[in-house]
Amino acid sequence: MTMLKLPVHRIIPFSNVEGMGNRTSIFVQGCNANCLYCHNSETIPATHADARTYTIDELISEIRHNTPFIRGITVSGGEATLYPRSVKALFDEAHTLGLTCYIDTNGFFDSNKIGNLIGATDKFLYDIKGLGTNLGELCFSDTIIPVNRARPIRGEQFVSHNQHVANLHHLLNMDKVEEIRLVYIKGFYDAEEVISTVADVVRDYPHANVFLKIIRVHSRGLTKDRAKILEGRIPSVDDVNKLATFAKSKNIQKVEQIL
Amino acid sequence: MQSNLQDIMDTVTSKTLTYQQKLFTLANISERLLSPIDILGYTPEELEHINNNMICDLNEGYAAYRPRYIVPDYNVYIENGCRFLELAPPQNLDECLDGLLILYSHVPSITSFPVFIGNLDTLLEPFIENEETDYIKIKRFLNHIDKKITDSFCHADIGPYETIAGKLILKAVIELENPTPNMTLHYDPDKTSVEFARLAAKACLLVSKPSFSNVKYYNRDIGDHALCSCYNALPLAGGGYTLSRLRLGTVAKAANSTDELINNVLPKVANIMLSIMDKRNTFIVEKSNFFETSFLVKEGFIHRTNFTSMFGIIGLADAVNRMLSLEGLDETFGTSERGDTIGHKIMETLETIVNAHHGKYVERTNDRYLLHAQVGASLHDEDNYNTPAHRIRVGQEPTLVDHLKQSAQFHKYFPSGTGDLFAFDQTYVDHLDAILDIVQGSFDSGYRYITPYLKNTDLIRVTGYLVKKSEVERATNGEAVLRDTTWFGKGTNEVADVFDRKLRE
Repeated sequence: MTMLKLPVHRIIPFSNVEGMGNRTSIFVQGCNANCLYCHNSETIPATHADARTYTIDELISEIRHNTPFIRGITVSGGEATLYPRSVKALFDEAHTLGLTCYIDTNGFFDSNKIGNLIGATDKFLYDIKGLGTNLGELCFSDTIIPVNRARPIRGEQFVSHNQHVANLHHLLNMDKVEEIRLVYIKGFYDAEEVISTVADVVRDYPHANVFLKIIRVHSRGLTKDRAKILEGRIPSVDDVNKLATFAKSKNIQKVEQIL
Repeated sequence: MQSNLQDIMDTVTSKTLTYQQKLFTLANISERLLSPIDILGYTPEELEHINNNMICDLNEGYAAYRPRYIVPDYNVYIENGCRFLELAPPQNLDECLDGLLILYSHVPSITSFPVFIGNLDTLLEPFIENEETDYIKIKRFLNHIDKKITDSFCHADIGPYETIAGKLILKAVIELENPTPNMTLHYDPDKTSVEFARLAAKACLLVSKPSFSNVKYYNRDIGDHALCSCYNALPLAGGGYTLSRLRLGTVAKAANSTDELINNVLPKVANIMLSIMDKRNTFIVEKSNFFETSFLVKEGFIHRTNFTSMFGIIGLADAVNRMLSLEGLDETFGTSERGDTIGHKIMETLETIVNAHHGKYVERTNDRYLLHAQVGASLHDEDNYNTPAHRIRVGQEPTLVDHLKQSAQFHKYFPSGTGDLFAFDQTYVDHLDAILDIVQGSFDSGYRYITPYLKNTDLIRVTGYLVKKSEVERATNGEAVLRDTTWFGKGTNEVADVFDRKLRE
C-alpha cells in the first residue's frame, strides 16, 4: 500500500500506438517542456480542469480492469519522468500483474536523479526533440503556455550540452529503448544532423533493434494562433521521405515515416 | 413454416431472384408443402410453436432429404480419390484444386451449397512447388468458389500451423475481397506462428476474414471438428442434421416475470423444440435414405455416427431486456449486472434441459444436442425482437473492454458455436500485435471465437457471414444480385443496424 499519487489528464484503456501491442496509456498532467507543435498542450500545465490526482491503487484498479486484453501500460504525458517515485511505484505494482511498463519521454531529465524509475521501466519511447541553440525556442520558450507550466526549465543542459543525447546513450546501454521518434519541423534544427547524431548513438547498440519514427509535423486540430506559429515550418512529404532515406543510409535499419 | 402454392408463383415471377436462386427456392418450397404433422409426426402443439414464432425452424424442409450441414473429410479425396466421381488421387496442385471444385458441387446442405470446403491449407500444402505460380492457381481457385458457390455460408478453415499454402490463401483473400468462402483460422498461440497470426489479423481487418477460433477450447468440447457455415463448430467427417432456434425475445413475451420465464415458459418451449429436433433427425436417418445413397458416406467422407444437431437460440438480449423492464429496472442487457444474472439463469436453464435430453442419433456428442448461439438469417418481422445470439443490441454496447468481458461470460454455453465481432479503426492495420493481444485476452476470458474487422470496408460481416455493402445497396434498390446471403444481409441490416456497430478506438 502506497500513498503516492499521480496527476493524470486521461487514461486510454486500449492504445495501439504507444509501444508494442495493446496497452493502457496513462497521460500524466504536467510537462517540463513547452514544444511549439505540442498536440496535447492541455497536459503541459501543472493543473487542468480535466485532470485529477489518482492514488497508485486507483490507477492499478483501472489497469486491472483492462486485463487480460493488454500486454502492458505506457505512461505518457505530459512528462512521466517528472514523477519518478509515483511512476516507479505504479510500475512495481503493474509488474506483479505481468504487464510490461513503458515511458514515453521527451528525454529532458537527469538520469542520475531518476535511476530507480529507469530501473523499473521496461522500455522507453524516446522523443528526440532536436539539437542546438534553437531547441530553446522550440521546446523551452513560453510561447504556447505562458504561465503555470509544471516545473519549467530553461533547458541549458539540453540546449548547450546535449544531455538528452547522453540520456539516450544511457538508456540504450541498458537496452531500454524500443522507439526513437523525431517530429520533423523545419527551421529549428538541422534534421540531418539530428539523424546523424541518433545514428551514431544507435550504432553502438546493434542488438537494441531500435525503431526510428519520423513524424511530419502538422497543424491539423490546432487553434489558428497555434497553427500560425507552424506556418512555413512544415516539411513536404518529399522532405520526410528524403530524411528517412538519409536515416537508412546511416544504417538505421527500421525507419517509419508518419506523413 | 409450411409453404403454399402462392409461394411458388411469387418465386417464379420474382424480379429480384436469379434463375438459380429461383430453382433452389422452389425446391425448398416443395419440401415445405407437405404437412410436418403428416410426414414428421409433429404434434399440433409443436406446429403451433413454429407458427407463433417462438420456435424458428429456419425454413428447413419437412420432407428433409439431407442433413442441414455436411462436413466432409476431404483428406479422403487426397488419399483415395473419389470412385463415384471417377477421380484418381490428385498428383499435383492442378489436379487437387480441380478435384476439390468437382467435389464441392456434390456436397449437399440446407442451401444446396457446401457449408464446409476443407482445411484448405493442409489439403493444398503437399502440392505446393512454386510460390509464384501456385499463388495464381490458388487465387483463381478461390475466385471460382466465390462466383460458383453463391452463398457465403460456405466456409474454409486454415491453421493452426503456418504453411506456405496458408500464407498464399490469406494473400489471395486480401486481394480478392470476395465474400465467399467464409474463413476461420484455428488459432492456438502455442502452434500458430506470430507471423502467420499477424497475417491472419491483417486479412481479418481488411476483408473481415479469417475469424479467430479458440481451437483448444473447441477440441476439448467436441474433438476433431471444423468451423462451417457462419461459425458452427461441428464434428469432422460428419456434421449436423438440423438447426432449430428458440426466439428468446419472443418466448419472453409470454412470461410476466423472470420466475415464470425460467420455471414455466422456457422449459415448456425448449422441450417442444427438442421433440421437433428428434423427429427431424429420425426422419433424415430412418426415412430419407440419405445415408444409404450418398457416395460421401460410402467412400468415408462422412459417417452417420459423426452427426449431431444444434439447439440454437437468438434474442437473449431481448428476453433479458423484457425481464429487466418487468422488474422495474431502467437498464439494458450488456451494461446491467442484473441483466447478466438473468441471462445466466436463462442459459443455465436451457443447458440443463438440453443436456438432460437423450437426442436421436447423436452418439458422437454423447447423445446430446449442442447449444448454438445462432446469429439470425431470417427476414421475419419477429426478428425485430430478437437480437442475434447472446449479443448486445447494436446501440446499447458498452466500451470495448466491458463488451469483451460481458460477452465472454456467455461463450461457455455454446459448444457448437458462438462468436462476437468488433469494428476497429484504420490504425490497427499497422499494429497487428494489438489485435492479437485482444484476441488472446478474449480467449483467456472464455471466448470461443472472435472477428476483429475494420469499419468502412465494402466487405462486411453481418452476423456470421460476409456480404458486400455495395451489393446490399443494389438489392435494396430491387436489383437481382449474385449471392443469396446478400438478401439475409439486407434483412439483418435493416433489423439490427449491424453496419453501424460501435467503432473501437
